[in-house]
Amino acid sequence: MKRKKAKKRGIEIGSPREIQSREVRIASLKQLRIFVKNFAKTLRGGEVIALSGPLGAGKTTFAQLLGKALGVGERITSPTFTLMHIHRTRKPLPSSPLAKGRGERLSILVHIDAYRLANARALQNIGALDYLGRPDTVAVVEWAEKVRRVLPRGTRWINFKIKSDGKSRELRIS
Amino acid sequence: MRILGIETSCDETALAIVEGKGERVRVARELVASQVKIHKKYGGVVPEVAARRHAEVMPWMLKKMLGRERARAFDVIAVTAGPGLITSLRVGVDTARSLAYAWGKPLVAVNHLAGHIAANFIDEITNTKYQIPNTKFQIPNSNRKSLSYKPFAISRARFPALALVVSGGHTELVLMRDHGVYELLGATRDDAAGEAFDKVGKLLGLGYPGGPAVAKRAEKGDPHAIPFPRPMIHSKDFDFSFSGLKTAVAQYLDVQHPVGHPDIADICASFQEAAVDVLVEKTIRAARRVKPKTILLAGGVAANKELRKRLGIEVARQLPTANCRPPPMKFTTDNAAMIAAAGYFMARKKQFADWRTLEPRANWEIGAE
Repeated sequence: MKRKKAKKRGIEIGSPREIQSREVRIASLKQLRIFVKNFAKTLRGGEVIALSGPLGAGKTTFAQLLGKALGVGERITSPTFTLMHIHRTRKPLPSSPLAKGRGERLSILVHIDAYRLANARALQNIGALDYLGRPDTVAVVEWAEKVRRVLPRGTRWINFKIKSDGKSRELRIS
Repeated sequence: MRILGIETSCDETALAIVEGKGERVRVARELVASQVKIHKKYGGVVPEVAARRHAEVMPWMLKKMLGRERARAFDVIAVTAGPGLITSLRVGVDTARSLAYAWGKPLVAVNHLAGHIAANFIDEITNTKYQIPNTKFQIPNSNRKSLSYKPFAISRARFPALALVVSGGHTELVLMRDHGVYELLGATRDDAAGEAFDKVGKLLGLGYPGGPAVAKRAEKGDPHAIPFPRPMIHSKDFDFSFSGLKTAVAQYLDVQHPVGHPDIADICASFQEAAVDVLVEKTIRAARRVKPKTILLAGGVAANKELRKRLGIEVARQLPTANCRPPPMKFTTDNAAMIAAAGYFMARKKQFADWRTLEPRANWEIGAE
């Protein structure tokens, strides 16, 4: 298993070193949870996270786990139908590692789904662009490849790939 | 009391006038303009085009709907205020606010899901020739006096009622203690049931939205061919999850059929069986808890024949004291009559909104203030 190997090399799943690496093999939901938790620690507000990959690859799950890590209290569901959901994040406890460097800025998680959108301009029409890059907001965009044109520079891309065993996923980060 | 219903939450512009009397509601006039063709051209929804289209047809439709009676045609305005596409909702809400201001009519803000549920309270028209509107404008059953009405079996619903609302955007179990009193018992944690149908349709190359196509193919398939999972069927709460089921279908296609031709009918049937199993099982379980007198089915997926059949059978078998009959097919899709019907029951309770402050709410949860 990759995880064991990673441990041998002294890299923990989702550690800063691994996040900066280009490919991560995730074998289970538990591993994805650990990865997202650590990934969330790197967020300061203003980030746009673009998710791409086929149906059922885990994009919505990623967004749900990210919301949890950021302290979103309400339910995070697939925004395919209404295109955009706006969630308030809870302020991190001062003791939490999340609080470090984040201060009190980050307060909104915007969850966008471009699955049903016909083109990139459509994202503008629903007012989504107002949120991208806002210093108090982290934006997660599913099916981001459809709206690549309007995403800001510096967007963090995560491409999900379903491995041939059907169970594990490969996350390519760029 | 005559209610003008306005519905623009997604891609149908719909107006209706219903007449409410006591517990009975019947449709006086109905008008629908669908945008399905327009969005098909773009290969998806373009929110701005949708909103502009709503705004374009609205004055024309209002004129047609109200005729020479104008303000005398109705007493109360009911409008969908959410949930839905914010740009589209705004057109309907602002139209309603303008009319409320200009003609001094009381206004009620209806939750779209409450509307779907209220479709169950509309009296059925017996000699209907309604078709699902897909062309420019259609005037189904417009104002013809000769229509004979048959009181719908549960038009006088006995409360408490348990409603399963399933559509492309929703999967909710709602408890109604009375008209206008909603309590959310459970909902989907990820994808809506209809969304799962649509996405499985897409996986199988049946186009978008693929839900109805999946249901159609399923008729010819073996529902027990593939043991797809029934997510959360044994969980104690009343929540749903359909994302994993969709993924299981994707995996099945990838792993079992990387090449070659899978039997689409069997996949559709097995998937539908799994989805219906979960929906019915959870509804029955919720019913055992809240002991409703009526079980209602609502939303676009309420048109799914298998779901209608199975829910009916299981309720009859396991909950003989509860009354269950699926809604008329024609009111399962988005329409304004259901919004007006829900509006009637709200108006009767004087649950009015202020035209000065009413705002559309894209994520309005049913039962929330």
